[in-house]
Amino acid sequence: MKKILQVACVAITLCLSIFFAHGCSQDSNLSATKISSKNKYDLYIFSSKGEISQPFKELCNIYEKERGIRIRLQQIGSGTNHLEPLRIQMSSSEKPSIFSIQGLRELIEWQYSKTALDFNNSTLESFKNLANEIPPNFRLTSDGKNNYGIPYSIEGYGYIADKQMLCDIFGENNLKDIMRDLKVSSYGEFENFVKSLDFYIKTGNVRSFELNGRTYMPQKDKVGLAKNLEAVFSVAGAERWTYCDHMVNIALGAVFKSPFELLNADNTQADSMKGALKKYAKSLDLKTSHAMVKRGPEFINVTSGDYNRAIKDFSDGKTVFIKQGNWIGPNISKLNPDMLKRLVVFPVKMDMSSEDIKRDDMTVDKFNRSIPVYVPNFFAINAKVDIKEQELAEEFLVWLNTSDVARDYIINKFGFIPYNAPDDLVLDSSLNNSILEYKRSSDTLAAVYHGVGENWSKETLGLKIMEDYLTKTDWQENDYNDIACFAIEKFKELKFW
Amino acid sequence: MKKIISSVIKYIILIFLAIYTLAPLVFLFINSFKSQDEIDTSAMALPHNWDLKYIVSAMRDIHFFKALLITVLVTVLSVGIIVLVSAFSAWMLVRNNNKVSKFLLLLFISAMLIPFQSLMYPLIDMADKIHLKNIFGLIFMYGGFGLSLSIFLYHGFIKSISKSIEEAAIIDGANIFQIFFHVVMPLLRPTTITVIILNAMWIWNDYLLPFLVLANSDAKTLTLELYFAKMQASQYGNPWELIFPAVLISIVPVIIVYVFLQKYIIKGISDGAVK
Amino acid sequence: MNKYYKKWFWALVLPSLLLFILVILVPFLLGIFYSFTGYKGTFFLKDRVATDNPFQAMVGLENYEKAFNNESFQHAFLYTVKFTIIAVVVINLLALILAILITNIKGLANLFKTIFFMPNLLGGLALGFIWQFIFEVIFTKFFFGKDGLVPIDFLTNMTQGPIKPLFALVILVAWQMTGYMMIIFITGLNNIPEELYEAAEIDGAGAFRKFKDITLPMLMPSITIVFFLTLANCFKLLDQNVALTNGAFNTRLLALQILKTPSDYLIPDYGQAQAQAVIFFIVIALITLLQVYFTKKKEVEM
Repeated sequence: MKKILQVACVAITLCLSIFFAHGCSQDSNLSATKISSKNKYDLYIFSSKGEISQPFKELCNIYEKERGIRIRLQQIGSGTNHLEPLRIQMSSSEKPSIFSIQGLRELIEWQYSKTALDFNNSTLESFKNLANEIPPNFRLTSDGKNNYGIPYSIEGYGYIADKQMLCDIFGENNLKDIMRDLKVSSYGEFENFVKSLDFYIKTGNVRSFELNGRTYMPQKDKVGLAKNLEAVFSVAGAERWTYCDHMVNIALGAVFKSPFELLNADNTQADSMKGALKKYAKSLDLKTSHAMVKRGPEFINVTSGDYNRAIKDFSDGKTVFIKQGNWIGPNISKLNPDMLKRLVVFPVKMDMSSEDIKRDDMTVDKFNRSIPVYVPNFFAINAKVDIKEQELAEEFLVWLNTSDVARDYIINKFGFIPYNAPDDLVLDSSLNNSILEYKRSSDTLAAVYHGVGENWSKETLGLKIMEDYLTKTDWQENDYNDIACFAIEKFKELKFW
Repeated sequence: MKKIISSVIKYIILIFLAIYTLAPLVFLFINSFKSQDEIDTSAMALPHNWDLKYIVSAMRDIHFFKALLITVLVTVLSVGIIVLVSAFSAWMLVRNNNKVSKFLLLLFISAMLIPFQSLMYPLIDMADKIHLKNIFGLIFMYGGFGLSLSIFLYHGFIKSISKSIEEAAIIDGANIFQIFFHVVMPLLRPTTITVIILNAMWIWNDYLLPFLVLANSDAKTLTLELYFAKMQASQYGNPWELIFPAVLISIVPVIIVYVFLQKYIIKGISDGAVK
Repeated sequence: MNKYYKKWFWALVLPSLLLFILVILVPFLLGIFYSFTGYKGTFFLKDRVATDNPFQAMVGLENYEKAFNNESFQHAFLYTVKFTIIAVVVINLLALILAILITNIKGLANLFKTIFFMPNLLGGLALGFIWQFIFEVIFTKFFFGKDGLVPIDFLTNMTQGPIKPLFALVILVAWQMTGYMMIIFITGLNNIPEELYEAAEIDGAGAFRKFKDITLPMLMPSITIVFFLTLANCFKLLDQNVALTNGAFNTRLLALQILKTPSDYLIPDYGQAQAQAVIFFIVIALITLLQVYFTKKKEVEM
């Protein structure tokens, strides 16, 4: 026993002295270690899109072989904790040459610290062209002129439905018409449609309704998928981001064209959001009043109100709609792969009047036929690494977005919608194609919510609405008003620094 | 008669509380063999079939063996450093009773008041600058954070032992290390056990420091792997079919050690309390 | 003899002193310094101008001002105080009751000790995940829900709303820490000489009198330790808070508040977080000093 203890102690003392020596030698030979660590890689990519980690690694390997350079790749999930590790890297001696920025709200920090490179100052011609060709609505910019990010992909969201489900409810003959009319219908019509569907699901009786001026009615007998229906909407009440980032974003789209307009909004502009925000609350009310789970504690419970639960209910055909985006593709393909080929997305309608809409290029009709299509994550270049490394980074991004190999990976292995997709591109997933259609007809809204911190959307407004879900079973006009006023008041209080 | 009734009541209360204490672990166990759906619908029931596939995939997701090895390494080395270094200085602080040692003791002990939050960012910054943002750095930091309490415990104990044996050894011509390892350390055994237990419990389960130090590296401790596995599996929502088996396998080593060493552990805790 | 020890003093104290200086002292002082700068994590900012040099970004007491005016910091402070008071009382009482029960039974005492101590060994994060499930599913669906065994509305969905999560956290922490404190109490109880009770019995004292006049005073040292340990642990609690609610419904305790403050701003405000941490330190130091002061006074009186 004593012997062992002694040996252990000696070993530990040795270790300890090595640490000290290690620390000291590193300290005194800082320049030397810098050179040696530089030799470990030519390009350092820090990506916060853990979902594609395997194929992205493969793609980097291909590039390494092709160009004869060494890439250090660090990948992390896109959850909320990706910033902390990135900051740790940014203040270390080995800074990433390429890093991820998840929208304008994350750019501010890197812009102020002059870490993110403004692509207008790039020296590489091919890269400058790539950057300039990014469509204006997909740019990462804080004033409309600067340009800080190359998109990973584009995403879109709205009310997702299964074509087969609509077919079984309304009959095959009506499918085409109803899909077209549902897309462009007004809020009032949509509300009526939801109520008729609810009536049909709950009682089995049918009632007619109008969409885009045409009259429809569910089929008298429930057939196929329609037999299993339990509710109109599948809602994840525990996930604040679905209703306070994504849902509120649609309403903000009636007031602001782009996230940087919201970022720079003054108090008058903040007040002008009121109408839109009231309508936002109203549409939340519509959605959650006809959901699988009734509002109350169950609704926001981590299990019954869970994201995976909501997708499961939808993929089991228990609901007609789920408000989500093309990111549910991988989940659906696990749960119900056949369904993936039949999904389409419809706009989230809000009861906007022309006074609520503050954009000169937006009308009520256009608003109700648009869905948000935007870039969730960008590649940025670190202006603080040496210029050679910056150029290597730029070359990589050019290759990533122009070469055939990379294009194949982006579409088929990552399952992304490329931001620079040509008009005739047809993808495997019907959901992705459905989103591309909106992009082609320019019926899109921006990710305006990227112009304000999560502190406002998820942490403040999100909690307020969660409490309303918990405590108020009936929402009235004044509840909508409360939500709108609260949101605006908090928006004004919010300070970015 | 009255005595029997009162002791029956005592047992009933204790058994009830024991069940209450163990119940969460039992839930954890039975739900580690179920699919997400089964957990959802019948959390209280025994699993339909004792399917090991969730445990196997959790082991893969949290890189169990690697993480276990790292956690063991970190815990053992850190605790080793703490024991050795703090016993050394506590011994010297007691045996040299002057102003300097009084001041140093106060300094060491007052560090117990410093919340980790108030120094974590600068600490990580510094560690990065001298290239210690890795497992070695982590061990080193634990060495520092464990000092205060350990010196405090050792100091209290050494004060109570007479130095006559040591003096006899000095006269016999033993050198300082011989005295320390052959005379002092054996006497300190009860406190050493306490120090080991208290520090090992904390280091094994710690999450924030490894998160700050190792979040970017491939070498992660069990707790950290657990946290990242949960984050990675689903950005949103709770993948219970991963969380339960992952938590289970991450606590099994601790439970095994506890079952074998419980006598020492409980004794160590009580000794530590009395000082 | 003393010379011999003196010769070795610095050589043997040096390792711990070095560790202490590098790991605790320097970062702590740096932290205090940073709390007076526009520290943003990877850079420093003053008047919206970024710099890498902290001396160019001294902002005086601005971070402290912001911290004191920060509603979520104020809230977290009060919340922590509330939580700590409730948790300390609950844990102390439970641990004392358990200890008394266990010292008064003949068989199986060791088994009970082993069981009650077990939760202590497990990490707060892992346990938090399990308890989240227990509160939201097991309690809600099976035990205390409308169709459960005993419908008690308060015990359902305990991680929701402004009040329930506080008690959920108390339940979790009590479950975890009571065993440890129980062991300390048992040691204290075993150190009380049996003769005292025998003497009291001869005097005809009842169970309550014995408890009040013998057990409690003799147990004072243990109570002091337990009180101090629970106070410190609860006040600095973090992992369980992260796992259970992660701050939703305004349930941030101070430790989590400090950890999350940077991300409350578009440009992460590490300077303010650092200021909050310094305030946190001062409060803890004050509590401890008061505690030591009163304990000393008590001991003198006794």
